[in-house]
Amino acid sequence: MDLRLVDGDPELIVVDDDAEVPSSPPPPDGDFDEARITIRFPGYLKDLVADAASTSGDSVNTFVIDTLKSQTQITKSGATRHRATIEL
Amino acid sequence: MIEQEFSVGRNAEIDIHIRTGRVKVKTGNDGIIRVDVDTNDQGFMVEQRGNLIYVSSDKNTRWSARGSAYVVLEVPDGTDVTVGTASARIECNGPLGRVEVKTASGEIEIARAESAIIKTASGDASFGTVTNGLKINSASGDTTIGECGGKANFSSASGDIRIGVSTGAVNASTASGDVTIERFTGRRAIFKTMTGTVIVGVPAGTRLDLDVTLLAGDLKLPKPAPNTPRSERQMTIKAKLVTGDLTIERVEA
Repeated sequence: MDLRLVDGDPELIVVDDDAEVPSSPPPPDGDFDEARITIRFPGYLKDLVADAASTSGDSVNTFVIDTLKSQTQITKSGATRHRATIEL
Repeated sequence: MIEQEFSVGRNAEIDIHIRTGRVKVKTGNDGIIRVDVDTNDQGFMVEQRGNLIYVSSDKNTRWSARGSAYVVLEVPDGTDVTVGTASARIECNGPLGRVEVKTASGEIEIARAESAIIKTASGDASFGTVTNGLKINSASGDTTIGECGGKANFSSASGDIRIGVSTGAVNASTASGDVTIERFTGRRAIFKTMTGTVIVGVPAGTRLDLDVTLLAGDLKLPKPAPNTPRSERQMTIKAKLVTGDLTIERVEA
């Protein structure tokens, strides 16, 4: 219950707590635990990744995670979709 | 025993229909088709219809009652060949034109053809070189191809597909059959399998766009090259596998 002034008059207003504080969406499975992975890649690529992250205004960590998320999607059937471009 | 010789023009065709036995097609002189048939079938037919030579068991007898025949044909290079059989073995050397085979269980061996359309239940099919397009439907027969160009379409239930070199687009669907392409240099390949595994050799210096959906299988990629060469070609591989693995291997450029 809130006491508010409406057009100069005091009014009692019932407030729905759930509506007042929107709940944040739960993270997808797997985001609860932080995982670490060591990746070895060519030196020139490290510089490219750092430049790309800087250009997009993200940290290298955020940039790499966002890129991986965009390339690996969990489909509705539970299958994993991998999309990537590879230089062989 | 039937021995006949026919004069034909360019783009000659042969059409062969026997139940069991053996069909052997080999290339010989231009303008001549020679037919040798060894059979006890009294109604066996060999006749010329323009540029087409028609070879068939007695059509008045029930299909299942028709006798065995051993058919040898000598044809000009580039002749189109159609064969329909229940269980006869088919051997063709080449170079032939379009080869079309429908068989229940007969084995197929084709050395060189421009294109091929094969429908087989359980017979294995083996090709040396098919230069410009290939379509194979197989229930349980295995398919082996040395080299194929043009569009290649494969549909198999349990038959395995093995290709040495493929220079054109590939579209392969299997239930449990495995697919192996030792060297793929085409622009696009699409694979769909239930339990079959897929292995593709891609030359170094290729930029590969992958779009792969796996339910329980693994995607196995080669380790990065020590000195990644500049990409000279680009290709796309799309795959949907349920429990099979997709393996990409780097092969020599």
